[in-house]
Amino acid sequence: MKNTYRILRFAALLCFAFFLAACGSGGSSSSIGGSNSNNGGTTAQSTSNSTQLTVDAGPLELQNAGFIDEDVPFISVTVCVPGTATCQTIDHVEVDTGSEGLRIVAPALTLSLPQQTVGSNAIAECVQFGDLTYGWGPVASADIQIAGEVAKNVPIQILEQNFQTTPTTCSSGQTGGQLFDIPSLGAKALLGIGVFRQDCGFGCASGSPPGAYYSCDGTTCNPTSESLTAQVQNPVWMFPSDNNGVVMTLPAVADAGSPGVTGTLTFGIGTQSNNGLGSASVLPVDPNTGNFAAQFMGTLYNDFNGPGTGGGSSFIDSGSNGIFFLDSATLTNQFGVNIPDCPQSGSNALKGFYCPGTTQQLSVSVLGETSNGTPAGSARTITFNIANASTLFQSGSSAFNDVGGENSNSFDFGLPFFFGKTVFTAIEGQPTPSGNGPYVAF
Amino acid sequence: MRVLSPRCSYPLLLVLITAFSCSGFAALGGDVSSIQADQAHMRAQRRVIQNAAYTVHEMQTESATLVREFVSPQGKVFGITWQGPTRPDLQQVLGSYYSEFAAARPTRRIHGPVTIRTPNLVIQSGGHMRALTGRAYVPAMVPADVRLEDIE
Repeated sequence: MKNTYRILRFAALLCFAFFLAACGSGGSSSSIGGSNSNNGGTTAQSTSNSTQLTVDAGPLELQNAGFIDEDVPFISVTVCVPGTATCQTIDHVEVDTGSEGLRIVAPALTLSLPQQTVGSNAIAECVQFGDLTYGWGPVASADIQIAGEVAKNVPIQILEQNFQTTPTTCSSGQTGGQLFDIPSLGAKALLGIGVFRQDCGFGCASGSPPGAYYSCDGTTCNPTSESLTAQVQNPVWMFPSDNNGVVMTLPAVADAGSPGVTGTLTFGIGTQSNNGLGSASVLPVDPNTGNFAAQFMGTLYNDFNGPGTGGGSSFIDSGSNGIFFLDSATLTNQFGVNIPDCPQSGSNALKGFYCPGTTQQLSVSVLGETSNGTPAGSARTITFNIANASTLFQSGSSAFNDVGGENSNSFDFGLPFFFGKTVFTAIEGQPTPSGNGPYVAF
Repeated sequence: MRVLSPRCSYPLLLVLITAFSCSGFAALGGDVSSIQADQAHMRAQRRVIQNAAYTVHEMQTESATLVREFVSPQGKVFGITWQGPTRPDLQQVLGSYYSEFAAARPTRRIHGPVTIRTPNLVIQSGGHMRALTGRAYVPAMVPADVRLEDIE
């Protein structure tokens, strides 16, 4: 295996160095992600940039714990000790366009990766998610290989249960619990490949906020500042080529759900014959938040910047396992759409999801924006169905195009949105044929 | 940048934070002075925006998270919102409402936003990395002329 990786990495380097030379279509290998890459079939002189994307029940360790994943997309990722051929391929790495950076749960990692240090102190990170969960653990470095792409010496995070002493400023109030092993994460790792380059940005470089980066002296961990280059990075922008974004393609699924489907994750936008925008149109997102605006039945959902001041709070996120929007009371009372919540107690309790008696079709208009909520581009209409999530989940399937739930004042277009589509996510500051990121396109 | 952070300053800083956070009741349901405790806990800068029906105390934390606390004409904090890379410490800002919130924690992980309703409190948390969003409010304390969508 090690030889295989060495050859692959060598091949990738050759392809990059001799861009016009005819090499590379053979660079894809079933040893990485078990994928037969789709390179468009015609281009022979480019890096293999595509890998198999699977939506299934999740890692065996999760299923053995009595759970399955629903609407979670996975790829395989190879991580290596930087500059060596000492590597490990990790399956069931969740693909998340709503975060940035690779985070591996410690039980899934067999390599010993070099930890980031400042002086004799280890650098650790606290990461918080919208579902009130959190992760904690050291920042380390790895070479990351996916398909023929290689990002070298990338700061990543290892999620551990007890790395030194978890600071209370990390865990306090995070009632969703800690993500530290395969059952709690529902995956062996999380690969954040969203619209940002880093996972925190300037706030963590100029200040030392609690709940982000920490310096650990072996006894205690204190908040510290972390330069942009030292922060955990979206590895895609560190690839030598195909580094301006990602393309996710998933087949359509039946309304009743599917046990699993296979699509592709392709790197680069408009860099090769297999990743052009084609007929997709661009939806610019706010460079500060990655968000856009949504209008539902005549009501515009701005956010946080206050009524009338713009600033959408809606987004597209492969790491959300439903289309989460508004709330049952608003849908019923304000819009006359009868979508009740799922039972809140009892054997079929399913908090957070919708359980309509009959499937409801809805459409929402989305509008891109530049900074501070300035509208940009033309409005697009997204149409989707909401079925009874409790019934769907009881089917035991894992891929659904019609599950949804509550999300006040905002639309979170999770994985159900992706089925039957090709969705582009362009990274901030990276040039593409349709201008610089950040944007999404579909 | 990290090297510039003098390690010796932390103990002093922690003492100050602890002093401030113990100096007042946490904000939700509390009076205006409790916002100062939150501000110190978050090491945030604050500005005050006066509206007709309520006052907003807007705080920018070091991570560039924007936290807003909504104060009624009677001087009580009835709602808190946030947007940015890090959530405010909910144990701090929910104060006496925290135990109610913690008892109603999600039993199953939702890969998405979470809403928790207790008899006295509504908490909504969502968003994505670098733009976590959320709000908490006490429905019984929201002034009659304030719409829920104004708490944002």
